Amino acid sequence: MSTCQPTQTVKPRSRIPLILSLLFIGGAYLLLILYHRQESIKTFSVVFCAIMFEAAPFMLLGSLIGGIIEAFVSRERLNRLIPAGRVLPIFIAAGLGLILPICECAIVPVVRRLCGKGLPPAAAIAYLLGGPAVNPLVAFSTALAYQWDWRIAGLRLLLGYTLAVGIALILQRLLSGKPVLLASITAHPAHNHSCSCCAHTHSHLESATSTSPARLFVRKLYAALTHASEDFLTAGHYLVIGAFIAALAQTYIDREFFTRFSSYPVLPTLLLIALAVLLNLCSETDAFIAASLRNLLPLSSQLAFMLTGPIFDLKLLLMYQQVFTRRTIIALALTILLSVFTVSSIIEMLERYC
Amino acid sequence: MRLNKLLNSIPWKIPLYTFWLSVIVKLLYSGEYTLFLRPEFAFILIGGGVALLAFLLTALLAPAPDAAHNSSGTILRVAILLLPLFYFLNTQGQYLGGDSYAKRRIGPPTINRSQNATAATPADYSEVADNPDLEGELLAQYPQTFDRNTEAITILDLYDFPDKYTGQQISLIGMLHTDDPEIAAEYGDGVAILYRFVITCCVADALPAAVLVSGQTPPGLLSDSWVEISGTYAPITKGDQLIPVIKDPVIKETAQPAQPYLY
Repeated sequence: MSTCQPTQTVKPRSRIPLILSLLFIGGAYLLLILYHRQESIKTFSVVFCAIMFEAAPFMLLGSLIGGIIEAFVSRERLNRLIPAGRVLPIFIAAGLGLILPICECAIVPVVRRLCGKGLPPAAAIAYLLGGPAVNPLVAFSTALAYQWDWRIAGLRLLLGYTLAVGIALILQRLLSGKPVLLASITAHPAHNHSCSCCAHTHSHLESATSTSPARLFVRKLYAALTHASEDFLTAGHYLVIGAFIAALAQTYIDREFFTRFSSYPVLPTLLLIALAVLLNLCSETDAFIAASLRNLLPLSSQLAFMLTGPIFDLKLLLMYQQVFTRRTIIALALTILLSVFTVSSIIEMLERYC
Repeated sequence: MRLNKLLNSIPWKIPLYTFWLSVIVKLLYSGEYTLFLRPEFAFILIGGGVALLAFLLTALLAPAPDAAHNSSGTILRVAILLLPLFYFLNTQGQYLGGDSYAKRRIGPPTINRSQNATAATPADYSEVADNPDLEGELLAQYPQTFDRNTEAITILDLYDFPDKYTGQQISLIGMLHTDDPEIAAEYGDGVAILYRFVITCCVADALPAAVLVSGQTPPGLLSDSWVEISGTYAPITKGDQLIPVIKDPVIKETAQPAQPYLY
């Protein structure tokens, strides 16, 4: 997997995302204007706003952390912190959430900036998948949802960590030699720069030895906020689209439907993976939804729901476009879905036959 | 081209951050945020508001935008980020009701006895009834579990302490879901469901906590109206699970409580 490719040419941008965005915004505003009096649209509005009011502050925080990394942490300093080798950084990054807990809405801007500073892509993927799934808040909320059954919480964290490491290792091999990160992230390594919003101030910031420390701090802070603001604008609009689709699913999908196939093998797991992708719940609350199904569906499918949600759902699929190439996103999505399905199926077999 | 130039010259981030910040201040000031989030999450909104204020100040201090900084992409992103605020205007006083109950409930209401590991069992309550001295001691030690006061209890109390209120007269406020074919098929006609939504973090994760109400509902009462129900709490035991039931209910319509959700 290649890290930075400064000579990589930036392809002319496709108009498809712009057209899709225009269609989305037109449809969303029309829906509101034409049907705002309908009860279901009022309920939809409440759910959509609730997701946004909960997620946006975390995304703002993530953008701020990303901006601070961009302005205050030099590439050299970060490289000194990353252990040598291809495998060790993956194992460490997947467990970083235990000491730096961060939710899935906040982690994408942070990882984007870390990648720009030279974090190896495989380690970035491990942190992206491990951070929201393997952290103390998730352990606590899962134990609480399952009546303080720490075995479920422990199993969730162990499987989450194993998946993060496994998927990162698989992608490292699969995408070896191919561009993993967007060219805009890796295009300006000399400036540690990944956007065009502050006229290349970083190189000046970092070499400004003649400036007083206080003045330098203020300039760095301003640069951090500028970057954070830009990241919020970029990642935030993906969050809105994801939240909108999730709110539609939350308003119109009958959850009891997902329990009708409990006696079939494998099917409950597949359905709950689909439900996790559609509902876009945050990793601190999904355990409560999973626990509400505990008398109706096998533990394997509940785990499939809790393992998928923090690492792959509609909003994350959109937000990953801020960091990775399309090829990487497709490989990442398929590997996640196949890995979660495999792990859950093994647990289902153990449940049925042991 | 002139329009394009004009659009690109507008510092779009300033209205974006101003509108978002205004909505957050309004939500916090009016307390309306509890219609979307649990009350403890005020600090999350405050944190978001501080970050937005910092972004707004940065945008105000930034030089005037030019084509390189303000493209059609920026305008589109701002339009998308403003979308939730327009939908917010459509939420005034709205909360999850009957439609959401039908979509979010999973099976008839059941309480898992092991829901609260610290909750007392029926044997504990019998022992306490036989020995008044023990009641005083346990009441001091576990006030929530052994306090038999049934005033101002909610449906959630029945879930937290499954055996505490058995056989007692209780009074609950919630929405009454009537004419449910699934419930009628399993428990017979004349059984309705009293429910309220319980929020863990935000409305997206809200799940209904419900009890069966066995008895005549007043004629003309619309399904999913707010009611106050007084009756005897007589749960049915099924293995380790309880089906919560209120018998011989007196049902009267009531105003929506200030907090429609439980947390």
